[in-house]
Amino acid sequence: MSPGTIATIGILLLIFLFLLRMPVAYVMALIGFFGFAYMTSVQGALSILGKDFWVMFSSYSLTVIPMFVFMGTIAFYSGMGGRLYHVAYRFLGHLPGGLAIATCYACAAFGACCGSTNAGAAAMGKVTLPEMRKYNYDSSLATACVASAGSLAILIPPSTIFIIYGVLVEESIGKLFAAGILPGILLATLFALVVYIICRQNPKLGPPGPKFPWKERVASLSGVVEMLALFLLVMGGLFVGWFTPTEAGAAGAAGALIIALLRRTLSWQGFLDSLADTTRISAMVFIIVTGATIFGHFMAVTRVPFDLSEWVGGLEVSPNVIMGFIIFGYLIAGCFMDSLAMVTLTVPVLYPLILKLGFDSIWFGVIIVLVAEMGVITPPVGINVYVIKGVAQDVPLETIFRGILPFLIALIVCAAILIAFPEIALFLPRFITK
Amino acid sequence: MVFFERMVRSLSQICDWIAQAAVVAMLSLVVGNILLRIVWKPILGTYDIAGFIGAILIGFAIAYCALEKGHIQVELLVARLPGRAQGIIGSITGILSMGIFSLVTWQCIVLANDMRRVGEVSMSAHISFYPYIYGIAFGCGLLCMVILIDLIKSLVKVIKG
Repeated sequence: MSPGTIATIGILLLIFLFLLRMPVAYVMALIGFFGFAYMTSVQGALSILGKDFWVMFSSYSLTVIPMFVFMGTIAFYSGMGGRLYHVAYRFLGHLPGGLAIATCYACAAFGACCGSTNAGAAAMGKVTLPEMRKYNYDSSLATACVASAGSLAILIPPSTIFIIYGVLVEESIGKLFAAGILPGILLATLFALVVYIICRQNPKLGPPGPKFPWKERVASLSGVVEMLALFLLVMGGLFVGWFTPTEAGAAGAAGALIIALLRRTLSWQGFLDSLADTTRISAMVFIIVTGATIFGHFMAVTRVPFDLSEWVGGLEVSPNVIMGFIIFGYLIAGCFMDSLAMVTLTVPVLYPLILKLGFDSIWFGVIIVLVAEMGVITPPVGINVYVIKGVAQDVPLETIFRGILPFLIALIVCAAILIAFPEIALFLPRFITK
Repeated sequence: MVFFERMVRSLSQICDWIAQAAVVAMLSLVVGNILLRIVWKPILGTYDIAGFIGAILIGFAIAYCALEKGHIQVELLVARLPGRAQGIIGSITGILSMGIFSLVTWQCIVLANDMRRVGEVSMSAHISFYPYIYGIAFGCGLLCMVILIDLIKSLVKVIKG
């Protein structure tokens, strides 16, 4: 059998086992091991198993994950999301659909302290949905808005997806973080625009909230100070070159802890829960990245990623059209797969092609995060929608998914804008030294 | 079976507490290194030690994560099938999962033995690698036990329907 045929059989088996509910990381390790053993030798495959688990688990560059996850869980349990919403609500709540617009920007701000979409959606859902309900917001608009905007947490740094992408393609995590800032602000604005247009057309869907006097608005700004302080500490340290990404994560987690202690917003139980969440999320991420690494060895020996890049790169089609197809493929795959699994599985295969087509690897990291965001809100396995369903249990899943479409269009528009103007993503990374 | 499950659950929980302590240790080490670098001199071997703490953190957390169904799986198809079919599929995937993690456990032990024999140590802190690799092997072995519990439950589903 040719290497291409073996790789195809491996990929089909992989999909088959995914559908049998076998954990994604285990499947990737299993198929990667057998594929590598078939292509090289059983002894070689056995030795990469032990080595990969040791190398990945003890990797200094991956220690950034538990640190940023810890920062996010402290922000979650200490109620930072609520204070951010409080500010956005006072400034924007009086506009048509103002509470939902405030939700979009509050989610973006919370993304600056938290790098996981689930935590973003859960934290903001708990705070924003009761308010929107109080002002008779359409439940489909309200839930879909927070499910979608919750995904901003992985575009605005820190972000677990950027870290994993950076590790997979050996790209600077600091530069990737910087690349997410402007597209994150752009996407938050596109989400806000979607809400505004919907509510202008049908004001009943999002009636305006109360208008607050400027004195009260300015007074509420203290809720943003802590987020700004954390963001400046983490990103400032990376921009200036004081910190490695792991150090930035640890400094951010320590900063979040100090803020929570000073504000007395984190109970002992909250602290223990944030630790427990950190180990659970970190274990889940590490094992999937390790599984993807083993699977990547198998793919590499079949040379499929390189053959694919040669073949597609040789087509007389514009690279942007090919990128359009890649994004479309991700959109479809994201309907059936978890975003994290999708990224770890596909990036090693597609990366040589991306370079061959002449795209910038930092820019592609931002595109990958955008498609991951699409994946967390598209039916039937959009994880953020399930998180919001957990918060608003009386709202049927279909109602939430029905409201998702305009936000999905905003994500696609954002990707198109980034294809047309890559500088939006590439401008800030130039200032990062590490 | 009840005793075995209780034992694995308790052991996994204890290991997760150790992993949680490792999070605090890593945070303290990295922040301590930043502060000492500013006021005096950096802690020698911080990168190595942080990596070792990471190995303990993840190695000791994977079993409890599996017990809490934290590892990502695609819930699209199997959840809609009748109980016995779910049991059959769970048994097959359980055997495959046990198989791969038994191999990982074994190979981590082999690697640790090799490192111990040649006396390999880290670059800057000169700390031996092998105890941490045994730690990962222990975590993977415990994960096998968690998978075994699910496998037994699936087999019971097949028999009882």
